[in-house]
Amino acid sequence: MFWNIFKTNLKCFVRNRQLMFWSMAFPLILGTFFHLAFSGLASNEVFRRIPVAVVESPEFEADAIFRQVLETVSAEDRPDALLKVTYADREEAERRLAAGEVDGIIDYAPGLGMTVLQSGINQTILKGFLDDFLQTVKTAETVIAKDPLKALDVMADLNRRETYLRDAPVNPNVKNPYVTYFYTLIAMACLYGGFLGLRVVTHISADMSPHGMRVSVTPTHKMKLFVSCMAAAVAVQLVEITVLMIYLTGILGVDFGGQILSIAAACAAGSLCGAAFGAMIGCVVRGGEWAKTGVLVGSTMLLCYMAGMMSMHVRYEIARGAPAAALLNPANLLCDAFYSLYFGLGQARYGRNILLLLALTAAFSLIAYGKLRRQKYASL
Amino acid sequence: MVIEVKNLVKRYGNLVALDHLNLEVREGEVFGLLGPNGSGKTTAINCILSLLTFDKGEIKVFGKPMSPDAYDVKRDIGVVTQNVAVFEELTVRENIDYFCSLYVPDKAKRRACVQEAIEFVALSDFQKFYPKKLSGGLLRRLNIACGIAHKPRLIILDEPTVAVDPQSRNNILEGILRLNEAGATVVYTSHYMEEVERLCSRIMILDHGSPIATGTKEELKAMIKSGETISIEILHAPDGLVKEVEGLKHIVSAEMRGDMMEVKSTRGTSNLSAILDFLKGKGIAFGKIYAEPPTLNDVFLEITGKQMRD
Repeated sequence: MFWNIFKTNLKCFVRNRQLMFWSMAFPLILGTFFHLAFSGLASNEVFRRIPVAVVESPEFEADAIFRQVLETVSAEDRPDALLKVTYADREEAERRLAAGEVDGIIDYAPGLGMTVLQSGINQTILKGFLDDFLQTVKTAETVIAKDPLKALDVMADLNRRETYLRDAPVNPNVKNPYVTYFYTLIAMACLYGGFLGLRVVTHISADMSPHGMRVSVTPTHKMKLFVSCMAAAVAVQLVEITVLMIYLTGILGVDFGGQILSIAAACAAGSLCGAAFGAMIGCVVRGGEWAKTGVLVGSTMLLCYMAGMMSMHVRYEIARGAPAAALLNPANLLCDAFYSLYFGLGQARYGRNILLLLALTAAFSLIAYGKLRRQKYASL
Repeated sequence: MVIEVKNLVKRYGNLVALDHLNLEVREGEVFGLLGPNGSGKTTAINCILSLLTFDKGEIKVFGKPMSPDAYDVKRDIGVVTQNVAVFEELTVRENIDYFCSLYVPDKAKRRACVQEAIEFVALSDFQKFYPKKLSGGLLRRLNIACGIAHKPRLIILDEPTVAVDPQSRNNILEGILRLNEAGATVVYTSHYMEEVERLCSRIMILDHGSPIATGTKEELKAMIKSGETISIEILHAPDGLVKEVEGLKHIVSAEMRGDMMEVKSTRGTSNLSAILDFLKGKGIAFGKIYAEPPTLNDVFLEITGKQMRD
């Protein structure tokens, strides 16, 4: 009997287009939008060589040092090359600048200087490059004039470039900082399991639907009905999350830093908790299915807001001012599990979040079943 | 006794939906609950099925107290609800199979039950259809099949023919009689008195949550003084004719409806001939003549002073 109830409910969920749209298609669409938005941001952070035009003039030809420096910083075979240099006469250089083909013009007019049309990061870098060059040349000239014996030492110092800051990723496995947005998306999709949980209650409650009334007068134990239907709901939810993960990783190419198994375990716990939360809302809230759906959507949004899905500041304030509320919020626990993976906060914190999610799942399920068990209604 | 209800009281706030209802349904009978909309028929059924709480009273089904977890009792009950209670996402066969599976776990036995139910309601050609593709009549037949596929000993049908075309209604009523002939006890609620009169061996008439009469249709009709209703076509009725007819012996009331004079008489054998003799004596020409025995509506009208469909 369990299998038949499970199978039938599975069919009902999968064939319900509206339910499938919100629980599966919507997160996929949202994921696509995230990808379009954030992949653009990530690609913008990759440094591209600054296009610059250098005006060929007798002064430029005479300045062997600057020409050598330019060749060095624009060499095609250097991965850290700063500039992409085009040599041209003044007129051609100005045309290229006006057309946006280059970000600046380097010229001797009469001293070394540059022309730009607007301010920006590339223009600032160009200015810094020229200032650095001029300062170095000036320093070298001064040293040679005052104490030629020290010139070689000073030149060596000037050519040495020390980096005092080092890039250190929070998690060496995570390449894309925008992956946190996709964690948020997965957490939201997990909590959307609430729609399936609510549907389960609709299927077996006499006051929610005519077929719920029919089911209520059958000799099937409410526990068997509840467990079978919830198993179907969670199965559908897990498949939906798996599809979402495959879509995000396989098609959109989102890199979760090789922690797929841990993320999958968190998703499973989140899906269970989401479905149980929906079932509890269905049993506890009075009113028709639309009213219960409204409460479910509202409460899910509130929990997500409190978990910092819209503003991290809210999450920190709640964690500081009301830590118990943070620990009872499934959305927060799910996010915290994902963040603990992302920031490498340790398995203990991740495990604590998963255990708390499972405890909340049990509590929500017990409340729901307690309401369903011997249900008689004052009116239908 | 299949169902025993004693002193059942159900209130919705200040409204008394069932007022000390006493009801007994005997094995093998078709018991009719007749009453206008809002008379308490569905409330009574939902209380019997332990779906509704009630304020006072006692309900036993198959001799056992009814409760939400009386699973052994529920096993022998089939319910056809007022609203069509099927899953939109399942086909005709899947719907019947699912609801049957909640009673009959054995797969082979269930398959036979489902097939029999499909044939019983004549839905063989539609078994792969989804409910939204079915007409109102077919949908009602599916609703019935879902309630009876497990071969229950007691079948409760709550207004199963609402919004159904005459042909489908006829099929449904014939099916219910066949179920009863096969041994099922049937409780049938309706506000269509013709249906109740045709199907039920015993009838309870409800009004405002109280039973106003119970018995066979003959017993119910015997309770009232109205006998037959005689309709006579009179093309040129003279003034004062209705008053004169009303003054005849055994005549309860008379009125003209177009060219037809409707006369209600008390029970008796010679009322029609007495009226016709009177008309002939007056030299009044008449055409078509109909005589109808009293209906349950007459019973309801005489006891409550209002029409059943008020």
